[in-house]
Amino acid sequence: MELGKYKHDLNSFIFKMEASAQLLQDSEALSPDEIKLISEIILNNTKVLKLFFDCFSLIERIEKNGYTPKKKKVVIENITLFGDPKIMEYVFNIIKILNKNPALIVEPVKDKIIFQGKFKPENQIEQFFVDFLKKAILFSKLQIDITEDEIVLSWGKK
Amino acid sequence: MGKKIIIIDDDRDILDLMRIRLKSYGYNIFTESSPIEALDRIQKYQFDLILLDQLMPELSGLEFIDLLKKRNIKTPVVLMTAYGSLEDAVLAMKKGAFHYITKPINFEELKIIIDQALELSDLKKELTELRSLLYKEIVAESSQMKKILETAKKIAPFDTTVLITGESGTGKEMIANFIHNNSLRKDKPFVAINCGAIPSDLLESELFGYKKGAFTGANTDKKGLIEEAEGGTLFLDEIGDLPIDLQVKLLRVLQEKEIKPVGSNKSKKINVRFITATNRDLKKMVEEGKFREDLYYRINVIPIHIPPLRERKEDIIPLARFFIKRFCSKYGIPQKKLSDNVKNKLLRYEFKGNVRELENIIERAVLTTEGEQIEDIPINVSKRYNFSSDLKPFKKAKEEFEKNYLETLLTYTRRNISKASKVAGITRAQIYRMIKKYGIEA
Repeated sequence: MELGKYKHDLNSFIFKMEASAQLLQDSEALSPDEIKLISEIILNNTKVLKLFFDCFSLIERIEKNGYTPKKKKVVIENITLFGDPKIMEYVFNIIKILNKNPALIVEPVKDKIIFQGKFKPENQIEQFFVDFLKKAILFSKLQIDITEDEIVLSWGKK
Repeated sequence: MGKKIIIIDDDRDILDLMRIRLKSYGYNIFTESSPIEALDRIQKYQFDLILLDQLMPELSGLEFIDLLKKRNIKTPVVLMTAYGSLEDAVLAMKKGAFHYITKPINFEELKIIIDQALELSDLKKELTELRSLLYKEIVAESSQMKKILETAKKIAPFDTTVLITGESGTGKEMIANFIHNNSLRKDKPFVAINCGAIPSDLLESELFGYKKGAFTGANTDKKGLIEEAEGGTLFLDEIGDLPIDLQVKLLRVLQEKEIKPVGSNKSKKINVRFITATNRDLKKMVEEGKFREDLYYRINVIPIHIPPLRERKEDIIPLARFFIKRFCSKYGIPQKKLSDNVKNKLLRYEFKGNVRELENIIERAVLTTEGEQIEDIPINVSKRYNFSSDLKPFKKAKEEFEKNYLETLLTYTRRNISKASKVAGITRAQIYRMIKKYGIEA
């Protein structure tokens, strides 16, 4: 795994955080809505960065045999599925981040969840997340089908 | 109001952060995450600067610059490129971008670049306005004016004399200037003199200059206007007002290409092109013995007649729009539009003072209208057809009315015959018949 490959996107995230922090330093000049907007930008970008590094280090650990994915029943957001709890949590968070629509439509059916949104990756980090989803199949009994408008998770029959 | 800047970036966070930051510098910020939609917006509304991201999924910044060029949009562009992609930045500048800035953006640096770009943009705008004032853009939508400009352009390179005729305010000096600017003499002076505005006893010394001591008050030698125009063009307006004795002297200048300043015995060779103009009937003046026949033929090598504005109604609205633009820029007020009512009124008005009168009307309207639209103009339009002072036979007057009405109708309906038929309440066939009868361009 090469972190340097993501340098451009990481720079962009860092810039956004820096610019946000600079703006908040002079918060008297900002309206309450602007302060809220900047705070949300910081929060969202922090979430993305944290998730990126979490996934990145998890893959590194798995590759070095430092982490063994478990295969058990997991309950996330009232949905019961089969796989590794940590990986499943990352999968759900990635789907939320990749989604470009304000609303993400989730349709749970037996052994299957269909996420409907807009999932086209727009930068290297988002592409990394898509690759992570594809890799997640290897570490669990999960089947993941990804298109630009739909992500389908299915399990149990493999 | 701050300068209008549009930021185009597919990253909405960047757009929000830049908007907040740049707004604090006093700019008026607009954002767009889709370059395709941004392009439409830029074409519809005037922006002072475009801040453009290079890496976008729909269209790259470089491709966007190409499209701006194709659409003849000259708003300055600052390209935002990723750190290290200097090649893109150089290419963007070759394509006409004003500057580039690398991401992550240093806002202080960006502000300097924005201010420089805006300053340059202001200077360019000013230059264009000054040029248009200097070269006096000619608005010509009517076939008559287009033909005149065509002739003027054709004869411009040749040093022949030109006589421009037409009512006051039709733009005779502008045509003379147009000829000069399209001639080989364009880098030399264009000197204009109104022969009717200078007392006849002063006119000779004004035209030919004088030697020191030629008359009381002549303390030094003074060049005349003919000499001032050396290498260029001398425009003699209202040539019909030139006194007979000066007509003789002017004829000699035209024939011999030399002048003799007042009080001098020596002649001086000159290299000047003469363009003359009048609103009088010179031929009639020749017949009445008020204008020398030999001079008339000498100045009338190429005659150009400019029809009055009421006979070329297609020019009225474009001219009005041109003056609105010019006066709004001159007085620094937002651009205005003409309401349909005003357009209609202008098309029905007689404009005895021609383009000059229209110019004055529009200047007044621009200064007195508060909103974006000019809803009314201070002119009185007679609801009936205005007869000229001589009462004409009914048939002739009717024909004149029909022709005039048809021209106005076609201009108003933009030559849409169906619409014209509806507005006039007559059949399309009747309109076609009248078009044929009066030889009007359909």
